[in-house]
Amino acid sequence: MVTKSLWKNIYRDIFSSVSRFLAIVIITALGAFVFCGLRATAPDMENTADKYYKDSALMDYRLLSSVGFDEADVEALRELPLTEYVKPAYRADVLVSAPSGGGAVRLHAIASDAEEKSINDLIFIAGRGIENDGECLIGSATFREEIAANIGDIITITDENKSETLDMLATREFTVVGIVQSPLYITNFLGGTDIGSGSLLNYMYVGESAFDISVYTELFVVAADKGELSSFSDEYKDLIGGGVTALEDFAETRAQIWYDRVYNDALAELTDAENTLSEEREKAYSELADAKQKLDDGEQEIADGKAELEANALELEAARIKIADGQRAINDAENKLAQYEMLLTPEQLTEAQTELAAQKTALNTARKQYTDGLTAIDEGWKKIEDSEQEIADGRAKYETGLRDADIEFAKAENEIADGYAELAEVKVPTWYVYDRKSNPGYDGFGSDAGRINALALTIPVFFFLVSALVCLTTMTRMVEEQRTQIGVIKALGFRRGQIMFKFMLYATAASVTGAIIGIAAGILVFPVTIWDAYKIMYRLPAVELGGNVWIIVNTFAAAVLSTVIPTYIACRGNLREMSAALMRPKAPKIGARVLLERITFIWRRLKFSHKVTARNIFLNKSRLFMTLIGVMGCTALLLTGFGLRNSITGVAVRQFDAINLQDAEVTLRDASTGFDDSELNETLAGLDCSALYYRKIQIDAVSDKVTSTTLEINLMIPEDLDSVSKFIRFNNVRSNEELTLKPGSVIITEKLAEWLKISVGDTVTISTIRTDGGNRKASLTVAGISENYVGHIIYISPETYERELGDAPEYDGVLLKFNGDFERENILTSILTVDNVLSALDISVFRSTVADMLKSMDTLVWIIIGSATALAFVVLYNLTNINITERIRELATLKVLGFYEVEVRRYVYRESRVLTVFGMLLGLVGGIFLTQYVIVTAEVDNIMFLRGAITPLSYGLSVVITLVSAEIVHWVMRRGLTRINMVDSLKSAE
Amino acid sequence: MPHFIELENVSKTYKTGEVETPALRDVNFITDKGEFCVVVGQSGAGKTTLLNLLGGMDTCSDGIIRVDGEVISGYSQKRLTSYRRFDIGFVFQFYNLVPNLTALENVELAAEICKNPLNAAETLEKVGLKERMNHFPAQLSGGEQQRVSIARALAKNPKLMLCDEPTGALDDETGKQILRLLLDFSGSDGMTVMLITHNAAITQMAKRVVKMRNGGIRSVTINDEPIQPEEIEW
Repeated sequence: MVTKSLWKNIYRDIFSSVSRFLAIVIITALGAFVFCGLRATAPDMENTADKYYKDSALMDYRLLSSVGFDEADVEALRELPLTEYVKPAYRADVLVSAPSGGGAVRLHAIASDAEEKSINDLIFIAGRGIENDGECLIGSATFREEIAANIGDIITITDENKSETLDMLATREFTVVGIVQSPLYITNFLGGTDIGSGSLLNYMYVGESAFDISVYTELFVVAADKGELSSFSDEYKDLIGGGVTALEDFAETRAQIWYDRVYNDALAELTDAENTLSEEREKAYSELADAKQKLDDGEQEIADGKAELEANALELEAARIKIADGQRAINDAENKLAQYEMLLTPEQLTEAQTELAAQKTALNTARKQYTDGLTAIDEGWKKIEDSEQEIADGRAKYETGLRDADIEFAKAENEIADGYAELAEVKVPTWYVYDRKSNPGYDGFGSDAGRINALALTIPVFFFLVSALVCLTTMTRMVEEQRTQIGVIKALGFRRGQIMFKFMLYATAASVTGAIIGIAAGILVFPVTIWDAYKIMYRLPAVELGGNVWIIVNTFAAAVLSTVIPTYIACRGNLREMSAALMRPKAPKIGARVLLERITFIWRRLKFSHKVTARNIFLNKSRLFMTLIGVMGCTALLLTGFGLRNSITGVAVRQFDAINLQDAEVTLRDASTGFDDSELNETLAGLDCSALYYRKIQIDAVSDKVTSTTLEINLMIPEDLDSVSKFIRFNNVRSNEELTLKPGSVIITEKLAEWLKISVGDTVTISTIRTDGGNRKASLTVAGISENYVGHIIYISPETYERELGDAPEYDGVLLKFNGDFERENILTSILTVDNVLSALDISVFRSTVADMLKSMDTLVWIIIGSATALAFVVLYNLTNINITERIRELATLKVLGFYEVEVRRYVYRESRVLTVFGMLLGLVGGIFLTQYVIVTAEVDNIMFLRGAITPLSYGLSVVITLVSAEIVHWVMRRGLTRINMVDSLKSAE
Repeated sequence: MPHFIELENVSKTYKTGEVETPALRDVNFITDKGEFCVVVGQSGAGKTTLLNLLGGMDTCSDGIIRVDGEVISGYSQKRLTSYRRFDIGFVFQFYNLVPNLTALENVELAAEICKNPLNAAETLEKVGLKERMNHFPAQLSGGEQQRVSIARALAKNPKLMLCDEPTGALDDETGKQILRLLLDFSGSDGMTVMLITHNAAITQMAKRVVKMRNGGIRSVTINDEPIQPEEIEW
């Protein structure tokens, strides 16, 4: 039971020593602030990202294939138990022109299908969704200005694209109707491509009708059985790892099925074609033969006709002669009749006249027959002529037909032969199975969060160590101060538990208050600040705070226990003593000689007051160590903060003033003519500058240790090895000598060397992606490791590149260094007028981009510096306070002896100054190591912070802040010293 | 001729919030230079307050305190400190030695800040601690510690030595030795010794005895034939 009077006692203790209570509150709060805040940051970052991934139904797998996918593939995939659902889609990398410029973008379209479920849901930054053909959405994620479009802009797919690509598209002109953020692209670096400058500058979403293609080009899959697993959990990673393996097997099967089907179909088609061909050929040639026969028959008929006509003509001639004879006979008969008319009886005359008339009629009939015969013959000849013409035409036609048929069939035969040749060429297609790691930035974000976690395991530990130490000292002192009171209470019959309760409650009240304040501030300040910093690189929604209860609970526990346990230990020690012993003053510590006194020649030379200080410092060893460690911790943290800042802010300066010396970078539209582009070379010649052509190629993997999904590594091929040092300085990291790039080897940048764990003389295997999807590999000796802070580059000479990695490099960029003043506006504008120049960038733009990105870390650093300064104050205040209260009697005696205030202060403070200086020196040494450790763990992937770059100013500031804190504390405490009442302090020995 | 110490109508009232506690009321007395003066009285009689006022550790509420012709009752804190530093030697009931300093160093600590200090080692020799001057307080007996305390006061070469129950924590025999020392040093170089005690027996050895009660002086007697400390019967 705790009695009423004991409660009163507790209240009084708190209110009578507000400064001590506050000191514990503040120091606990500081420890909890940093410990909880920094550790809560990574989980908050992860939770926020994970929630975004879940809300946007981010795909778990992505499948690509060299031949695309058909419905059967999609159906088969849907049947797999490991897929929750599958979304077929189209994609193509295209070069576009936009009002703000142009370059390579990735075009996406999600195919509509029976499944209602969505995938990779977009966040609309502005505008609306696609409603009509010819509309598009464009990504907001870019700090490259080339393709930053506004709503209403027209984006055109240019003619420079490959024809295969253009064939896939039904629409080539799009109006921007919305600006979106896709969960596939959470960083500003959107990945590589084989077109344009090799890097994607943005992405676009279009309707599926924009694609005119019979197969899907991309499949998005959502994994089954993932439940509520966090994307950052090992369970999820295991699930997906297994899924990728299973999908790769599936892909192999499907690829074989495709091959079999395509092969057999083609084969059947070819066989059919062959059969048809032979049938056709037979039919055609037999028809031709028939036609020929008919022609021959016709000719025969004509000949027959001719013969008949000639025969008829002869007959007619005979008939004509007969007719002429007949006429003559009639004429004779008439003459005779006329002569002999009288002579003849009338009967005879009538008879003769009748006979003559009959003869005349007969003759007329014959004559008519003759005329008819002539006409018939004429007609017959005409007919013959027509027929002959017909036959001639028919024959000409026949000849043409025959020739055509020959050609036709030969062609068909060739086609079939080609078909067979093609069939032999058909290969099993390649399917590519990816998981989210292939999404640009996905992996990087995970490791960034991990790095903050790593940082969270170092710095807060220091804060905690220091705060626990100070709490221990403070509470021990409090228990000792109240020794007599404890004795009295104990003598009055209170039980140990009751007495202990008071101290425990005091410690608990202080530490719980501190822990709550610290935790609340920590989980608010740290994640938000750090998230803001990373927001420059990642495109993610606003951070969601305080997700992790476990961290809050264990910070709370650690903060409270680090105060309560020392209190318990201090109490227990004192409570063990008998109450009578407690009521007597604790026997004074026996003074002891210090080691320094043995060194008499120094000791003798010391002023008396210095000797006293030396003695006092070593009198209380535990306090000596606490002060040393406390101050050391603060200084080390300060130096780490400043050192971190030096290392970070120095990056941009060092990178762009000492390594990259160019003033501008020009990217060319067409790499093939670049080197010889006369227009460009003429323009450059007029600018009073040096130029270096180069080619930059993204590396797929280096020595199988680092791949393009984890690190962006570029292969840089400078065209001219003699002048390269004017533009890029290869500084040897260790010796600071200048390296030269020689044929036959490579120079790699420092951080990449660190990742690969290689040193000069080792071999690296570089593999580059080729446009057909294959790789090219080359093993090369590392001739040097050069200083570099931004990005990862492998430098290689053009000869070596050509020999080891394929074709002669096509230079697609130019570095420029101006001899005179660099008037950027005029110069860049004049360069941009050259047709073949795609972009011309002032290097200071990169410089400020990098500087901005790093500035984000600055905030974190200032929090650390601020916390460390606050810690220094509280630690020094507490220790000084303890030092004074513990020795109040001694100080009162000094006052009685006639020491002036200033002398008393000097007497006390000299000790604390000496300890502060020693602690600070230790802290500077410790800080160097802590800085080094923190820098390495806090670095982001593509940036290396400066190593060992702590400036004299940082040492100076750490020293000044520590000393000024100490002096401010001293200044504050002088009131306490002045108030020491000689009369009261001397009355009793307590 | 003015007296070494003169108190005229000195009053001291402690204020705690609204409550006023009078500690000294209208105190008047004098002491001559080189005298051995004992102030005696029960607990709460005001003798410690008197000593504090004389020692410059506290200021009076009313009246005038004159020491060696100087009116110290009007001194500022800083002048009071100088006064303590140069004119006063103090011997405490509980010795108040700095635990971390040897006997010699404790004496040196005081001597270092004075204008004409005595040699610390010699002073310790005078109080009989020649052999033990390099010991730390915790290694010394109570009597020895009080000797160190006296040596520390003496080494400052003060005009006035104030002793607050110097024998209070000591046994009789040791107490007598301490009193002997104090008596021996009184008068040398004109040093005045003022000792406060509740033990009336000690008054026998004093030249001047001031009896106090209830914050006022009950009587001041001059003892023409003070006895030696060794002869005191407790």
